[in-house]
Amino acid sequence: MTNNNIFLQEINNIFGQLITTNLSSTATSKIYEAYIFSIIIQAARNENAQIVLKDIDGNVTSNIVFRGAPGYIFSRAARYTFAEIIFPGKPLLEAHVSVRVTGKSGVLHEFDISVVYQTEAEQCRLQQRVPRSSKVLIEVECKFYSTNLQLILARAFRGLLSDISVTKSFFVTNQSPGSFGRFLSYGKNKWEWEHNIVPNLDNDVNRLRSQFQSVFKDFKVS
Amino acid sequence: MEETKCNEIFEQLKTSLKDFKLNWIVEQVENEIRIGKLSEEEPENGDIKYTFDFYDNRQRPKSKMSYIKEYSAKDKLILLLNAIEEVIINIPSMENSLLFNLQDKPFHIEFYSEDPNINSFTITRETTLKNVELSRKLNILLDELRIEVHK
Repeated sequence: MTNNNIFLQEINNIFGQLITTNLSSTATSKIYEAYIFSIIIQAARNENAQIVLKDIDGNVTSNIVFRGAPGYIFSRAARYTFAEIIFPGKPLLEAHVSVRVTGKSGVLHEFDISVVYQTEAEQCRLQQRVPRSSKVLIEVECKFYSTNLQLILARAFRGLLSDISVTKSFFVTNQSPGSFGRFLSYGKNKWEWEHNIVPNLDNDVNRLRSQFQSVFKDFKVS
Repeated sequence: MEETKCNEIFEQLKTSLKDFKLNWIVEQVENEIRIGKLSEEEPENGDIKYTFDFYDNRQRPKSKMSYIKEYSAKDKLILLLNAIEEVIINIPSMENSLLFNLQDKPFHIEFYSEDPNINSFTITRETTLKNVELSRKLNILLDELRIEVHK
């Protein structure tokens, strides 16, 4: 048996032992969103925020439930978790995974991660309505792909920006910058983009975390 | 590694991924191969798929041309190995990071879908740690295979 055959046999053995339920295309995208959510939480904590994980009724929780598909902030289909972000003397914020938000046109958009003013989030839960993008401090589009990103995703992101009035939008991916990086760097002002955001690439992850921290820094003095 | 051997391993890995319900990785790789490789270097004769001139017909001293090349058998195999790494190495690391870095270090995290067409799933410490261990072994094998490909 050649070396290559041994490699293939060993790779096959590993595939056979993996628990692949979390490795579907949809599941990996959702895990990626949750991972980016955790980086936002770290950024807020680095800026001296107090973080409390809560459920839809505002109770502190350690049973973490994220949305497996985009949904409404007021949904009671499950006891979805959000992070309350507390900066002393400042309006309270909430970080959510995969909720729908209305744009300037009144159209619904799906934000992978959003940091919303709590007054808006509470009103939405009470009135069963959708948060307005003008009440969102940070919005992140998370793109987890196994190969290079297609330009159409970056184009869709720039299209989305024309209909929302978020303080800062981010386009974040696990992939290296290809054409999309060039496209997003050109004319950049109200958005940021980051690439190679995976756990073992500390430099890139630290840069993203710092950018989130910068938004929180400005928020603290606003 | 010879092109025919690269093709052979590429096909075998594709079959394995399909067998283990990871066909979406193969689909993304095949899509990338269909699009071709973007390059600013002029390819050798016969290798070119399309040419774009970013500056159209305007007079510019140095027009930047982009060429789309076909992926070689070696390139295709490397593309597939990288795709496997992106998913099978990085996702367990992200799960691990979530379970151990989030406040209160939860034992499990549920992803609940209201959409009946999308499956709900749960990550637990037990499954994550198992996948992290396996992904470490896989990472070593993928690195060794890459070295073989470049020989």
